Amino acid sequence: MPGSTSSALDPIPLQLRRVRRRWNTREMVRAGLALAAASAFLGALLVLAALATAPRRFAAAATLLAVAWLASAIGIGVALRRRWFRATTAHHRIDYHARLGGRLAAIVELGAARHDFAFRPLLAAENAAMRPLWTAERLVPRRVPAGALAAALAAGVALAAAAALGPVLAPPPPAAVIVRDTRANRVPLRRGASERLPRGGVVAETQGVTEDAPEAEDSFLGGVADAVQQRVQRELWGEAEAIRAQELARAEEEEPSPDPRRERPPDGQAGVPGDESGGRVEPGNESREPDAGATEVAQGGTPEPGESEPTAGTQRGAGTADGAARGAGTGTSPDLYGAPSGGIHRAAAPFTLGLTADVHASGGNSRPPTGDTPLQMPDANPALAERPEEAVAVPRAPVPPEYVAIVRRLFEREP
Amino acid sequence: MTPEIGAGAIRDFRDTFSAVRREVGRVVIGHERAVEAILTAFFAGGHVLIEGVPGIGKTLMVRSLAEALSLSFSRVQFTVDLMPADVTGTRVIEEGSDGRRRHVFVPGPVFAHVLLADEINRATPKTQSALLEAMAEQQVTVAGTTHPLPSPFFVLATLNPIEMEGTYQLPEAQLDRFLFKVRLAYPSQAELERILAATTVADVAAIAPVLEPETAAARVLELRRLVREVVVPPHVERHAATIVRLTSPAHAADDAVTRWVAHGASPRGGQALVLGAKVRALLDGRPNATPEDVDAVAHASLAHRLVLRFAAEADGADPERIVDGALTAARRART
Repeated sequence: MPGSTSSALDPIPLQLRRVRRRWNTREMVRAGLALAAASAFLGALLVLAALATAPRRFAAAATLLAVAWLASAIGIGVALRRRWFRATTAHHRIDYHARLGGRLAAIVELGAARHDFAFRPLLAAENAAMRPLWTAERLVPRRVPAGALAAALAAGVALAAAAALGPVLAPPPPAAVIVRDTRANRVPLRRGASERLPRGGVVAETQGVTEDAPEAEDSFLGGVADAVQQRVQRELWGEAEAIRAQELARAEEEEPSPDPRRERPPDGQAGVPGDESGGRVEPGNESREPDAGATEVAQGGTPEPGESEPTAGTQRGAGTADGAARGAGTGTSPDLYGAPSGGIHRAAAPFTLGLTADVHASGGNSRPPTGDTPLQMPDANPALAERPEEAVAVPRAPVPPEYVAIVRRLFEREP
Repeated sequence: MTPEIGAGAIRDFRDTFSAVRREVGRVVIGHERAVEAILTAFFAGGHVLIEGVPGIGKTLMVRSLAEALSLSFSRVQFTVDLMPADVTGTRVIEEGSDGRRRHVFVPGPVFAHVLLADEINRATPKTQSALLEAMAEQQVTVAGTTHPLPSPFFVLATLNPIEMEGTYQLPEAQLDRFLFKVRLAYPSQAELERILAATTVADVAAIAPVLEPETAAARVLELRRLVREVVVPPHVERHAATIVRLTSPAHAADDAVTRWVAHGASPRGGQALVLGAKVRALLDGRPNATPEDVDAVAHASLAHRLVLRFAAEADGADPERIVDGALTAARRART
């Protein structure tokens, strides 16, 4: 190479290195921002899904979001690899981006060639003249790509908005919730304790209830998704609200068991404590041993004075208005259906709540009742039956989550 | 060559090329891309095969080119009874002024700078071979005597895609000798209107020579030499070689090639790619060729060199589509 062209080409390798370093830095920043944007955006979706969907649906959504995140990460990695300036090809890429017409690539590749050619001086001169066109600052004006930064910021805002929307997405005003401590993957709450919910209602923990609660998600992914959802709900709603939401969601998911053993306990005994969650109450069973969990709710709840403190009349009225048998109130908490609605309760006019249910006989004829007659339990509080008062209808009866499915089915039709 | 001289030479090449194109464009309406391809092959030192239906200006185009370049022009209408001697020339007995008789070589029409071989596929293979040998060797041998052809020597052969009865298809080996094959499309409505308006008036446009007649041949040779000086970096050579290999069924990346192509382009196809790319580089004012230059001449350089299977004809496969596939695969391999 002639001396003049050699001196003109000397700065080219150094400039190539500078451009390469700056370009690759920007690409790394771009990849990082893109990954952050994807993570934040998918995180926002995850939060919304955790707050608004049932556990099983959330598991599916979380799996989808995890796959989407993985795909995004792989895509970003592939894009980074594609855009990366390697030492061996940087001159081609710079040539292309700076629109040098192949001059830089040609002079770099032919720089080491021994044979000379007629156009070499011209090529070297043109490259020297074009050096200002591909300086590092010109090719990479900003180290932080604006588009990726904007995407990351937007995704961050979306995540913050999702977190801010959390309380809005909380389930409707609560009732008292019975929490089974046998439930797996649940937010821990102190045993036997209760906690007031921010918008009223009480969450209480039962002790030693051996309910055959539905199994938690068997798969690892399901368990992880459950834990994530609980964590999100606990962070955004608080511990008690999170527990209540889980119980509600599970109660809605669990259909009444068609198992005849649940409809009629063996040996004519009363239902196993906790069976109420199965959603069936048979005539005559009202006076059986009360549910331990329900008792726990009654004892553990700390209703506000004047708001959730039930009046005596209400308690008695609640015991008679539903036409229960004489022993119906035995051992039953007056707050079985949750804290009464206070002023609204007293001010509202009584009304008759008509309940109808469609009954279909399978064979066209009614069948005689089967099994043993339920045992008549002694009345633990006969005073309630001696002085019956006028029935007072409950204008708005909070429904425990275990009965939500039943009550909804009953009220689906107009009376 | 100093930078100033090099830049001046490139500028001169561009100016000459543009002037010839402009002059040809005055009488040949439309076909701009075909004219550019023909001029590219001319300055690259190759020959061109033109395919087009009769009456769309093939002869006019070649004649205009020769006139613009101030080069000698001859035309041979190939027919089935045309003999090789009718193309190359023959020896005749001539009686001199002293009364002695001697054999004298009478040059045929091939002895011209620009030769139009009209409907070359109508002549017998023997006559075709005579011309194609002249194209390759740039000389003819008659009765043991070799006669060099004038330089530059440029053949434009035409093929009529219709009326195939009684024709002799050019063998693939002979097709390979054409640097480019150019298809002349049927003129558009607007072009046809312009043709009718321009060719039916009293003053038909005439060609103004771009080069001086005395120095035209030397100037053309000089410009051809300049083309050869264009720098082709290794990655461009690699790209051209990749394209050529990808047209071969043994190295194909495209199903179309393996299904339709019996034999891919020859190394001559690679030479055509590189030479065409060099001309394109000069036209762009660059002393170096790029992969994009190679891509730009790939169809004209390679499509006629592919030997297609019967399945390709049955499927109506277009060789240009096969070249497209090879180009796409080569671009992918490059990135």
